[in-house]
Formats: sequence, C-alpha cells, structure tokens
Amino acid sequence: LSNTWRLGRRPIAVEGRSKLDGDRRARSDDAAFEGLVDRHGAAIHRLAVAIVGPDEAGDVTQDVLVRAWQRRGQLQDPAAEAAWLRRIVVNRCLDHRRASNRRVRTIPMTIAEIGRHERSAPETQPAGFDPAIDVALRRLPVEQRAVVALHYVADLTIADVAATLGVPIGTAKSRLAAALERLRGDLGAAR
Amino acid sequence: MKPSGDHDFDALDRDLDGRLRAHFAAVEAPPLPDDVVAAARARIERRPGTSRQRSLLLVAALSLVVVVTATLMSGAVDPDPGPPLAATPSAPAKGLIVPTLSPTLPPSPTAPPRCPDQPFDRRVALGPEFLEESFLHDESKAIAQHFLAALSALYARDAAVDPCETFSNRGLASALAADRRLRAALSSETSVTGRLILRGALENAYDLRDRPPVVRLDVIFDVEAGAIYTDVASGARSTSAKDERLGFHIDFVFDGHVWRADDVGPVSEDNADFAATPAPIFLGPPCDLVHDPPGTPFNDRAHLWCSGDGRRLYTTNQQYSFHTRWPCDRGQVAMLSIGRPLGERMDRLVFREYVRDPAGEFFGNGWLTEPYDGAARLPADAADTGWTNGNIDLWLSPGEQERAIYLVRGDVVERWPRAIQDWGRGDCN
Repeated sequence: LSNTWRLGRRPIAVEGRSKLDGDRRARSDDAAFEGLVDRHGAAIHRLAVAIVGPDEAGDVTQDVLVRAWQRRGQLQDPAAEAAWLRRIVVNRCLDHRRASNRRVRTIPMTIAEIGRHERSAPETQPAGFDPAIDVALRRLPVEQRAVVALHYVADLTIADVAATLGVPIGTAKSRLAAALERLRGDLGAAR
Repeated sequence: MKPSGDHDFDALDRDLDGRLRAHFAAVEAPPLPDDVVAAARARIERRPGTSRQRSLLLVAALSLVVVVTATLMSGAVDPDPGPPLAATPSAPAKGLIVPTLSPTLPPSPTAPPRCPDQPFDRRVALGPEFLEESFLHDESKAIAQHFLAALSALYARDAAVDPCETFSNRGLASALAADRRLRAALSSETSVTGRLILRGALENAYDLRDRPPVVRLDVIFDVEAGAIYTDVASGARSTSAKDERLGFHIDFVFDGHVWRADDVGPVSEDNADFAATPAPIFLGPPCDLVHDPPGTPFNDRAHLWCSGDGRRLYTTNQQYSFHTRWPCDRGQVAMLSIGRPLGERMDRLVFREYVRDPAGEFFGNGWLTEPYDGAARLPADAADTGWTNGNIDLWLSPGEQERAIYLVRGDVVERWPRAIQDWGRGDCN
C-alpha cells in the first residue's frame, strides 16, 4: 500500500474505476450478446435443426453462439456476419455428427415403416408438411443434408453454398445432385 | 422461399425440387429455446472478459499454462497427471513381480529411432474410395484402431513391433515430442502395459484425392484403468486406478500400401473438449416444475428436468440427454443418458444410456441385454434420485444401475435396460 501511495496512486479510486469499467463492460457485453442472439439466433437454430435434427440442434446452437462470441474479433466485415455464422453452424454440425460413433447404418426401419408410424401419430402437421420428404431428408448423410439445408432452408445460391462450405462450386453442385438423387431413390422406394 | 436456385433444373427432378421447397416453407421455424441461450451465456460468462486488459491477463495465464503443460506433458492432451511415468526407483514392493522386458529398444533417450522415408508408390492402383473426397464408411475409425493397436504395443515395449510400420520418420519425431508415454517407452524408461480403447476418430478436413492421400484425425482414446506402469531400470510398478483420457491430432499418410502417422500433435481446437477434463457443471436456476397428476401417461414432450435439489438441469450441459420418439422423432423408443455418478458431467464419448423400448425393437435387434419392462417392481435398494421432468421420476438401484434404471410415474414403475452401446442422439441417417 505504501508503495502505491508513493507512486501517487489512489488504490480505492483505481479500484472503483475498475469496477465501474467492469460493470460497463459487462453491460456492453450483455447487450452485444443479446444483439447476436436477436439478429441470428433463430436462423442459426433453424439451420441446425435442418442439418442435425431437433434433438441435437440445441447443443449445436449453443456451441455456435459460444464460438461466435469467442471469435467475434476474427470477423473483419460485419456485413459478412450471417455467412460467417452459417459456416460455424455447418462445421459444428459436421463435428457433432462425426464425434458420435453411432451405428447409423443398422437402423432397421424403412421409410415405409416409418410412414406407418407417422400415419398413426395423433399430432397434426402443418399444411404442406411432407412426411416422406421429412423422413428421406433425415436419412441423408449429414454432409449432404448440410448442402440441402443451405440451399433450401438458408436459401443460398449454389455459389454461396460452395463459399459457406469452402469447396469449389462444382463440388457443391455435385453434392446437391447426389443428395437429390438419394432423396429421389428413397422416395421412390417408399411409394 | 426463393422461386429458383441456380442449379440445373432440367437435369434434376422438378417435382422433387418443388416438394422440397413446399416442405421447407411449411415447416415452421422452431423457436430458439431459452435454455440454449442461457447455457451459452453461462459458458461465456465463465470465461474471462473481453477487454484488452483481461485478454492480456488471459494470454499471460495461458502462456503459463502452456509452459507448465509443455514441461510436464510435452504437448499431449493429458490433463490428468495419472500415475507417475517413472515409478519410484526404489526396490520393487513386496509381492510385485519384477518384469522381464526385452532390452531391444535403444537405451539412450538421445538417440530416438529413425525411420526410412516411404514415398508414395504411384504404381499402385488405389481403390475407389480414393476417388472420393472423404471416406464413406468407418475407414477412419479402422485407421485409428490400427494405430492404437500398434501404439499399445510400443507403450509396452513389444520388441516385435517396429515403430516404422506405424510412423513416418517425421511422424515418429513429432509423436516423441507430443506423447510422453511413447517417449518414455522408446527411451527405455517406462513401459505401459494396458488396453488402449478408441473413444473417437474425429475427422478434420481432408481430401482422399490428394496424392499421397492424407487423413487428418483427432484420435481420442483411453488408457484403461489397471494399466501397469513399469520403471524399466528398477522394475518398480504402479497401476492406474482410472481410465486416462488422451488425445492427439494425427495426420495419417498413405504410401500406397500402409497408413502411417506422419504428424502427431495436440488435439485440434475444435475437438479439444472431447479430450479435456470435463469442465465443472454450472447450477441451473431453481425449478418451478409442475408435476403431472397421477395417471398421466408417459409424456415424451416433457423435456424440462430438475435435479433432486430443485434446480434446472441442462441437457446442453451434458448432465443428461433425453431423446424420445426415436427414430426420426416418430418412433416409440426413448433414451435417457446420464453421467456416473448421477449429476456429473457425462463423458461425451462414453455414455450410460438407458432405453424405453415398449415395442421390443431394440431388444429384438440385440441392442439391449435385457428387455424393457413397463410394469416392473422397484428393487429393495432402489432410491428416488429426485430427478424428475414432472411426468417421470428417476430412481436408481445401486445393485442394478449398470444394467438398468427405474422410471416411476405415480404407481407405474418402468425398468429401462441399458443399451449395449451408446446410441447418442436419435438419427435417421
């Protein structure tokens, strides 16, 4: 303390100023985080739901929000915020999926069987909801589902899909084509 | 939804395109759950702040951690110190068997083995998988398992295993820098005899069409409890009391014949959580859960769970996960995963998962060792954990919880058997 006084500082004032600064920072951070959630939270979650399904989307969305917050300093162009977040969503979805060694290829239910369950389900779906499409989408590999989600849910052009995935446009096209081909095959099998 | 994309509609199925657009337009955007935002906020708030001053403090703190970590562990993701690598160089304890180890490895730590260069053999006709960008099946897992089998033998100083079959020269040098167990084994200081259990082979970006093909994996594994650490010089031994989680980022390169580890280092940032010591669990807010009246049927939509001390549990915090209507959100199966002991953070790569299987689908497929029982009786040692979602209450029997848990709804008791393997989350993939 005596050293501090000799240097002409006033510890209490400094401490007080620090606390005020900290409070302001905390409020500012709170507001910035709220802004992030308000601007993009719903879109992040919707894209995550489309790629990994509703059960896992919460975990992915949470990870994306944390990651985006921690790395927000890396974002050079605020106008690119949505695209930057979409990249994080897709990467987290892929990581999430690859991280769980599931026995995904042994699921016994066919689309037709699932369709029977569905018809017996009491809940009603919104007009336009296509149960066969819903099931077939869920059967896609996650990489293909990501392409479909970016194109049809996030409403991106193929060029933007390619940019989001960091792959050439041709690769994005071929992935989408493969996904649609697989969907067609699954839907045909269910008829 | 926009009316057109820029792909070639003529080459695709216009009907399918239209169905997809109509479907996605009909599906309402799911609301962002409040608990997801709350959990994200809590995770952020546990971290240091964002000001320059605090960032500098953080950098300084991290630097210190890095220095300490590098000194102690040479970069391996091995947050748990575990048993000492060099056992106490005193006389072997009474009753211990002095091991007879083959002195085939170079005794000097200053002369690590060198491996010959293995250039890519362009004469070899590669399989069709090398025409794809990434593996379509479990090849990455197989590569990791093969690697761990060899690593286990090297840890144990098995003279029959040549490290150059597993590592390139660069890979071995980087592995010796990153993996203290391997370094100690190859420098004839300490051997580790025990099972290495693969927990995850997590793929990073790679392209199999590259030549030579390189697959970048984060390999997460456990040195199983009971591993014997032997000081080579004295023969003194110690035994690990619990699983030790390790992880390395490894670039595997294919020379046309064999996959070798070509670069070994710490697990990549994206997957560090899988290899790290679990973070402490933060407490949720008090619960004001409304309990269903007696006789209410099983309600798979009651997702909110509260702990025995009346606090909200976060599935996103990995204390539990609860998935219902599996598969595809339309089936009849429910799965509850919990940590051990209850309330501890779940190991993200090793779950204890219990299954409600009213139609016997899981049991019929051999995924459960016992059938689900929807009209069970509580065993004498069962106790109410206090965990509830308002519809079902979780009871545990110490004598049975490795095999089953009990879910109670009023006077209905269900016995959910444990899944043979973890199922993770519901998936139609």
